[in-house]
Amino acid sequence: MSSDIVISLLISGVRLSALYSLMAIGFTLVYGVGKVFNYSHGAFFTWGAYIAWALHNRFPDLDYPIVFVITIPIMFAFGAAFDKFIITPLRRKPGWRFTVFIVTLAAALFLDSLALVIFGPRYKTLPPLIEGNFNLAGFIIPKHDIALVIIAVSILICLGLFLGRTRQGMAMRAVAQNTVGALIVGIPMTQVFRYTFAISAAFAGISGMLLAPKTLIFPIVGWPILIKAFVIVVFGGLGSVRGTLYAAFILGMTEAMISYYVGGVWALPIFLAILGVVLVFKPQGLFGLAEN
Amino acid sequence: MKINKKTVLISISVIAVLPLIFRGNPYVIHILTLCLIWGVVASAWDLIVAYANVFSFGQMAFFAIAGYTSSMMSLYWGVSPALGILAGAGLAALAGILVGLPCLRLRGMYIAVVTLALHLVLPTLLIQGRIYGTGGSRGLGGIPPIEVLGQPLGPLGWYYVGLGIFFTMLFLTYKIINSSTGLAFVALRDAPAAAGSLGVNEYRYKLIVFGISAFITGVMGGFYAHYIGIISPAILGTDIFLMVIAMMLFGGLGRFPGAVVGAFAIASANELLRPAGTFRLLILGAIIVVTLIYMPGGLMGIIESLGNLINRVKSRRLNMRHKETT
Amino acid sequence: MNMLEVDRITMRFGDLAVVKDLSFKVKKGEIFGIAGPNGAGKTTLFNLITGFYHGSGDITFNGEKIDKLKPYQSCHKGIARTFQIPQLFLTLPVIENVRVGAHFGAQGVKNETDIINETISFVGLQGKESIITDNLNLFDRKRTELATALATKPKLLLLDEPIGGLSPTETKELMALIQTVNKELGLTVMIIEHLMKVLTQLTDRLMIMEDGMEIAIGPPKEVVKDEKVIRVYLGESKHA
Repeated sequence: MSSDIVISLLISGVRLSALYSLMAIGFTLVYGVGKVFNYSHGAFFTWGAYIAWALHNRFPDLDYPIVFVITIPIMFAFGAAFDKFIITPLRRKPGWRFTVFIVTLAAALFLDSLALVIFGPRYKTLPPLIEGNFNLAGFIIPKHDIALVIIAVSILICLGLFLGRTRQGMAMRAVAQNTVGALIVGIPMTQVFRYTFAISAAFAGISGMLLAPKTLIFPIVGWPILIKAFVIVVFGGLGSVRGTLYAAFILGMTEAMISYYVGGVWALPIFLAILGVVLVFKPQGLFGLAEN
Repeated sequence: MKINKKTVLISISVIAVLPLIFRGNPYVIHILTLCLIWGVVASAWDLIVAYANVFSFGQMAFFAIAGYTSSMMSLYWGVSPALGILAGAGLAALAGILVGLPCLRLRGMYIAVVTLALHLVLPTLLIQGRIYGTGGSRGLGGIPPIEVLGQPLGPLGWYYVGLGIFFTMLFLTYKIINSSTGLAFVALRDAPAAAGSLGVNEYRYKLIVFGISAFITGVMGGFYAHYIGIISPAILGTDIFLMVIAMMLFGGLGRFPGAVVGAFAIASANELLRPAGTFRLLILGAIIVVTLIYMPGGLMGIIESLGNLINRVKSRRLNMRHKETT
Repeated sequence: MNMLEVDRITMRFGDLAVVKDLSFKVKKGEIFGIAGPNGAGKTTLFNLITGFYHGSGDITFNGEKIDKLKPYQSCHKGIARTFQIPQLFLTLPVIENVRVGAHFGAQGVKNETDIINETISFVGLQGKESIITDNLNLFDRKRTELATALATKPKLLLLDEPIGGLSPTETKELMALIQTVNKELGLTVMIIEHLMKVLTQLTDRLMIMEDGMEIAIGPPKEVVKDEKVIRVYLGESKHA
C-alpha cells in the first residue's frame, strides 16, 4: 500500500473518528449515568443540523460560526426538556428500562416526522464552518475538517476535565458507578440525569452541524450515525468512556478503509456484522463495565 | 399472559361477521384484511416481548424474509402461493432460530440492539441483492395471488382465507401459552431463580418461542405479499415498524387479545388519517409516547379496570341489599 | 462414599472474597449442617454448588465435576434447593408449583401426575392442591417449596435456613419432615441454619463457617465445644 493512500486513509479516518467519538460519548454518557438507551440520539443529531439551518436561513446576515455557537445551548435545552417531559416521568414506573427504550424510539420517529412536516423532504445544505482547503504536503484537506477535529478534540478534553475536576462531573461519575451509593451521599439524581442528557443532546447536535456540510440534511440522516455510534459504544464497552474513545478511533479508521476499498454503502452492514461478532464473543466490549 | 375470555369471544363473533355487513364496500374489507394481518403480526410480537420477555425488534425482518421468499419462489419457480407461504414462513423460522441462537444468550438490551440492527440492515441487503432477484429498491411486483379453483380470490375471499389463517395462528399461540412452554414462562416470570433451580432451561424455551413467533410472522408476511401483489424494502420502513409497535402498546402488552384489538384500532385510524399525509407518523409517534406514559396497560388494561370497577359496584350493591334485608 | 466434594473453592465479588479456599466433603446419606455468622458465605456456597455463581476451584458431585454448570443443569444432575425466603410461583396453585418441579426437573419420568400427588401428600399438603400459593401461610409455603424441590427427584437437597419464622410446633414438624426425607427417601441433605439446637438434633455432621472459611467441622456435639466456634458465637452475641 503506497504511503499516499495510507495518509489519505488516515486523514479520513481521523475525521470520522472525531465525529463518531462525539456521538458515541454522548450516547455512552446517557447510558452509563442514566442507564437509558437513547434511541433519539440520532434525532438530536438531525435536529442540531436543522436548527442551525433554520437559523442560518432566517438570519442570513449572521456569520455561520455564530449560528453554530448559538445552536449549542439550544440543543442543550432541547435535551433537558426531553429528559424532563419524557424520560423522568417514566423512570418512576416499574419496568422503566423497557418503556423508556420504546419511548425514545417512538420519540425518534416522532421527531423525524416532525422534521419532515416542518422542513419538508428536500435536502438542505449547511455551509462549512470555514471555507476553503488546506494544502498539506500535497494532500488537500478541507479547512472545515481540520476545524471539526480540533473542535471534537477540544470538547472531549473539556469533558474529561469536567468529569474529573468539577462537582457536577464527579457526581455524574458517582451515579454511573453506583446509583444507590450516590443517592445515599445526597447527589441530586434527577438533576444529574437532566444535565447528562442535555450534554449528550448538545454533543449530538454539534456532530450534526459538523457533518452536515458533507452529507446534506434530511429527516432520517441521523439513523446511520446512531447505529454506528451504537456499534462503537458496544465495541468499546457500554458505559466506558475510555473504551468508547478507543472504539471510535478503530471503527473510524475501519470505515475509512471500507469506503476506499468497497464503497461507503457497505460501512453500515459491515459495522453491524462487527456488532454481531462482538456481542457473540465478548459482549462487554473492550472495556465493558460489569452490569447486574 | 392474561387471556380475557369474554373479549376473545366477542371479538371472534365481530370479526367473523363484520365483512358481511360491508359486503358492498371492497375498501372497507381491504382495511379489515389488513387488520387481520397486522393483528397476527402484533400478537406474535407481543408473544415474544411481553410473554417470553425477549426484547426483540426483528419481527418485521422475519415478515420481510418470508414475504420475499414466497414471492420469489412463486415468480421465478412457479411455486403455488400456498406452498410459497409455508416455505417463506419456514425460512423465517429458520432465520429466527439462527438469530436466536447467539442472541438469546445476551442480556435484554443487547438482544434489542442486535435485532434492530438486523431490521435496519436488511433493506440494504435487499437492495444490493438485486442481482439475486430481489428487485432492488423497487422490490417485486406482480406477485401471483392465491387462487381457488383457478380463480384469484375476490375481496371477501381474501378476507375469509386470511381469517382462517388468523384463527390458525392465534390458536397456535394459544396452544403455546397453555403448554409446558407456557408454564415455563409463568415460572420464569414469577420466580426466575427458583425456575432455574427446578430445571427450567430459559434459553431453550426462549428459542422455541422465538422460532415460533418468527414462523407465525412469516406466514402473515407471505400472505401479505400475495395479497397486495407487491413487496419492497419499504415494508421495513419506520412507519410500518412504528405502526405495529403502536398496535401492541395501544392494545395492551401481554394482555391477549390486546394486540389484535390494538391492530384493528390503529389500522383503522391509520387509514382514516391517510389524508393527513405526513402528520400520520407524527400522530402515531405521539400515540405511542402518550400511551406509554398515561395508559401503560393499553386498551385491555382499561377494559380490565372497567371490569373490576363494575364488579366492585355490583358487589357493593349486593352488600347494600344484604344489609337492607337483615 | 462422598456425594459432594468441594475442593478449594473461592468466590470473589470484585475485590471482596466471600468464600475463601473452602474445602469439605459430604457423605452420601448424611444430614450435613452449615452454620456461622451472617456474611460467612453460607448462601454463597449454596449458590456455587447449584450453579448460580461460578468461582474458582472444583466441585464434584457423585463423581462428576459440576462447577461450571448452570442452575437448570445442576438440577438435572440431581441437586435441589430451597431459598431463605421461599421462592414460589405465587400466581399459581400448589399443584402447578409442584408440576414445575416434576415436569422440568425430574428427568425422563412417565408418571408426572403420580409424582406430583405423592410429593404433595408427603409434605402433608393434601387437600390444599388448588390454593393459589400467594394465599398460603409461611409454613405451607415452605412445605410447597419443599414439595416442588422433591418433585425434581433429587439426590441431594440443599435447605437454606428452612426454620426461620416458624412457630415451635411448626419447627418440630418441619424437622421431622426433613428427617423423613433423609431416612425414607434416602436423600443427602445439606442444611444452613442459625439455631444450634436444631442443628445438634438434626445433623450428622456440622461445619461452622466464618468470613468465607471453615473454622470447624465434625459431629455437632464436638463442634459446639470447639474453642474457635465458641468465640465466634460469643463474639457475635456481644454485638447482637
